[in-house]
Amino acid sequence: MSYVDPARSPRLAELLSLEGRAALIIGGAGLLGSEISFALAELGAAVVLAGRDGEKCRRRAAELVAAVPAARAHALAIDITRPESIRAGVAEAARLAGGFHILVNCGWSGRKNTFESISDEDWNNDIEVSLNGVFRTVKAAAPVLAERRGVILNIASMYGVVAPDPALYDSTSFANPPSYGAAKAGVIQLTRYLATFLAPQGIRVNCISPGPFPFETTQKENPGFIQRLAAKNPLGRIGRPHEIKGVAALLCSDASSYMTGQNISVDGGWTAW
Amino acid sequence: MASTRFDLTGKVAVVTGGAGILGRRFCRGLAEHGAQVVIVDINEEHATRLAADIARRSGRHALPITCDLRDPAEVRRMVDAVVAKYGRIDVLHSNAAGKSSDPAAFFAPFEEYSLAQWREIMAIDLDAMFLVAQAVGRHMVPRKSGSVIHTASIYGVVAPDQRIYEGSEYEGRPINTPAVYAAAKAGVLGLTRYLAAYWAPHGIRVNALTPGGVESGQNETFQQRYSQRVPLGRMARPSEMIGALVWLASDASSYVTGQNIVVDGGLTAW
Repeated sequence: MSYVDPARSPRLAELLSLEGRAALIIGGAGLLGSEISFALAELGAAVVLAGRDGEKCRRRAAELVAAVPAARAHALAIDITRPESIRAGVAEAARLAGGFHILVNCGWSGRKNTFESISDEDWNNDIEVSLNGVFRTVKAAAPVLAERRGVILNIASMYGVVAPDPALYDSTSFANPPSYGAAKAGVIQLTRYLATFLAPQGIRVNCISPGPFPFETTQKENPGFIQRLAAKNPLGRIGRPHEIKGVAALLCSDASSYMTGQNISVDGGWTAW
Repeated sequence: MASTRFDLTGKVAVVTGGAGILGRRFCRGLAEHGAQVVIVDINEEHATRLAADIARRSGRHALPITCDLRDPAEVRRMVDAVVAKYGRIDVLHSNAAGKSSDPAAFFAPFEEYSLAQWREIMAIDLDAMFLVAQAVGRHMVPRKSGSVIHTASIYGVVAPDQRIYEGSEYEGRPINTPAVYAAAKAGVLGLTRYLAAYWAPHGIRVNALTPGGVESGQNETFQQRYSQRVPLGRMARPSEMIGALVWLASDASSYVTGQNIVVDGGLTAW
């Protein structure tokens, strides 16, 4: 039996390798999505970067090919609020990469709001993109993933786990809207549902909850906000986008073959106190 | 490329319970990724043999240290010996858990469980985590860096389903999971979060690794009953813990602290 002879177990470098695999990364040109795209490409996966802005995805894919030796990267415009766009995109991604084994849901767009400022329309838009978009994409991609006993990685948020502290936000223009946390909590629970439901097909489903990774523009516009975020966090700082890469490598590869239904927080300890 | 992302080259890693069923896998995994491993175990013969085995396979010297982690003086001596030899400790994997000297007392029904047995297990499963973290922390704090990993358990997160123990045996003996183990492991998770926040200003990260049930020679009945509780439908292989461990030990998890990483095939997801 395998447990008596670890010398014959696969080495971790083999377990982490994604050679011969392909990944569809929704939001693959975004702040964290780009880092995940790079991580998967560095491990040998062919990557398809998808998002509403196809041109942005093309630019990022070109950067990736220039930076990562032997990388194969494609770009694709997909609007996850439109079912027909998802269906066509999933089919096109499978054609470009010869099928895919990894689906990463990292798409986001939305407005800043407080509970008082948010309109019905903004609420619906956030739920549409951040929760319904994940549901639709998984539904469309599951048959492709099932052929290869694939993996799904959803990107949630610390605000799907805990509530924002209103004192962090000095104006509506920086506030984290209530719809965002509600959608992300939904993503964490959907992850668990999909993990148990898709387990018989050999598909593993996990989730990452990033902590504070503010956009560069936010950091420039509001240094006081960044200081408050850092002060609120046990590690005393905001995250660096590349700090998401390690966990993406773990969860998208065979190095996590016994992990499913989990939510891994990369938050500097934000949710530990 | 893959190995560079989870690289432990030059890091000194102390693993307690390092010669046990999972511990020896952990030691080998850390060594393969470049760590200088210190195997701390109560069983001198097993630790020495594992060190020789690691040296033979990886060409890397591993230091075996015999230590009874229930004794604060011995824990201090162990840590001093590591620091004297290597000058520092970069990674602490606090992994030791207790085997009872008296299986009948260890597996006794809760209603008849003795306080003496409860304390015997607590002394290693929880108290020793405190002692080791304290002794190692004293060296990590001034250096402003370190990664601490505590081995917890699914039964520190959820309760065992007692039905899986009907007809289950390990080494020919009926088995169960006693309450003291669940209570101790839940305590480990509390200690993990506490220390994560407490040592964060000093650049020390503290996380827990929770393995699901691992194949280690349980009888067929247990393996079947347990596997039915797991979405992935099987027990874990010890090697399936290595990816998460090396990630937590390495700089690839530099923004992760206070977390419990559960490698359980989905057991706690439903």
